[in-house]
Amino acid sequence: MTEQETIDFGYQQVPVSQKEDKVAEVFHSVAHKYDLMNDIMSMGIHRLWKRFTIELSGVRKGQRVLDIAGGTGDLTSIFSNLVGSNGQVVLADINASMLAIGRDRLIDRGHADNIDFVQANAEALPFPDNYFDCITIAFGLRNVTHKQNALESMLRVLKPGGRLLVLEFSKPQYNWLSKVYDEYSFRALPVIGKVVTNDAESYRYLAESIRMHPNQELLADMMSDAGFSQVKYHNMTGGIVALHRGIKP
Amino acid sequence: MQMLKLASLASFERVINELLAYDPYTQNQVEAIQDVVIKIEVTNPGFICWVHFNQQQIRLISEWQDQVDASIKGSLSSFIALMKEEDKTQALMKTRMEVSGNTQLLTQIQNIAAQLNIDWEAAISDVVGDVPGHLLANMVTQGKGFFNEIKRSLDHSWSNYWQHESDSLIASEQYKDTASAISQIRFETDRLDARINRILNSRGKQS
Repeated sequence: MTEQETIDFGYQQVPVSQKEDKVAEVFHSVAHKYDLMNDIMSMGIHRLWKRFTIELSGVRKGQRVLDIAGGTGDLTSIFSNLVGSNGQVVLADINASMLAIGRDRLIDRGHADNIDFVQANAEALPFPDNYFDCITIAFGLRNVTHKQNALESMLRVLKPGGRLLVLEFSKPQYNWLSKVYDEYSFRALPVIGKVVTNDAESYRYLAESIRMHPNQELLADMMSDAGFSQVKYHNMTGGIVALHRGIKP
Repeated sequence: MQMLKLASLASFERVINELLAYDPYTQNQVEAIQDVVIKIEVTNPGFICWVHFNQQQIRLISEWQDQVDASIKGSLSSFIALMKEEDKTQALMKTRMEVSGNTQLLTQIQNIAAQLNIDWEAAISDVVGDVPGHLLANMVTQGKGFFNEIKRSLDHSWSNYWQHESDSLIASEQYKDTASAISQIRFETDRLDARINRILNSRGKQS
């Protein structure tokens, strides 16, 4: 096996063809308690990170929004209210378990008429060119096998002037925060994962995959390389999470 | 700071929308303002937020990078004065607030806010139950009446004291009569001045 045929899966190198399945295993395993774990792990702050993402999306009535890796649908449900009955929100996720949970939850909450559910790979989005006004991907890009391909695919389906928002874990801006964050991620997270979902490995992968994900500057460069303009990022919670925004020229 | 602002706005937004649910008339009025964004900028202390009217909900936004329908800028004291004042147009001029965009929209929103009539009894009852809610609401109403009566009585006593005991102030009616008389004298003086000028001018022309 050559070096080019492998890719990171956390700290491990795995054959490219296996990464998708391995990521799928992780999410199948944690899907049923995904939101609970998010609340516990982030102490509820993930709701504020997502709220800021929605603010910067600038989504208005009648628009089309694609929520990639939308999982359990917390962004989708808010977008559904914002676009109204004349708009459309597509909740896309590569993982069937996550998508099923999101679909059931949104239908239970009465969000059915303007949402479509699509099982799709971010690298090859099954939508026409220039179709969406806004695309979001929250805590999903780091799990994508070929990130650059995914960014290019997103650019293709965005309308000119449309915006992409990438909410993802990133690199803390302060050394002291980095140390605290490392201790928390590698010691506490797997224990919490074990207690809540009976799965420590998935949360070890989470911590590792965050470290392997491109930092703020690198991701901004990748977005520019994909063809996005006016690429900017906002650090949140000291850079633990960053929100990148790019516009399709 | 960004997270703190987000958290504060999120909490405030939740309270506003929960209270709005107890005033269906206002909620319908809010719904009529379709998909509108207003920028609110407080200069002293510095604070900016955006308000998005979306269906029956009000969103408070910490960061908005798109066009807005209207914006209003001024100091905190100006905003407080604006909320208190009944004549909003005059208040805007007096407080020197900067308004841009669709000003009719701002007036419409001010009017909706002025008509806000929350069913507090229902709101309290939903939290503590019907009977305690009714008792609490009664207590609040009676308490409010009690404090209003105290305030009215204190105002009256202070007014009496300043006017009659200390002779520091004159009675309100007396002040109005005097002010009116001064105003009348001013008008008459102005008219007399105009007539004298007219006579002087006509004499100048004759000579």
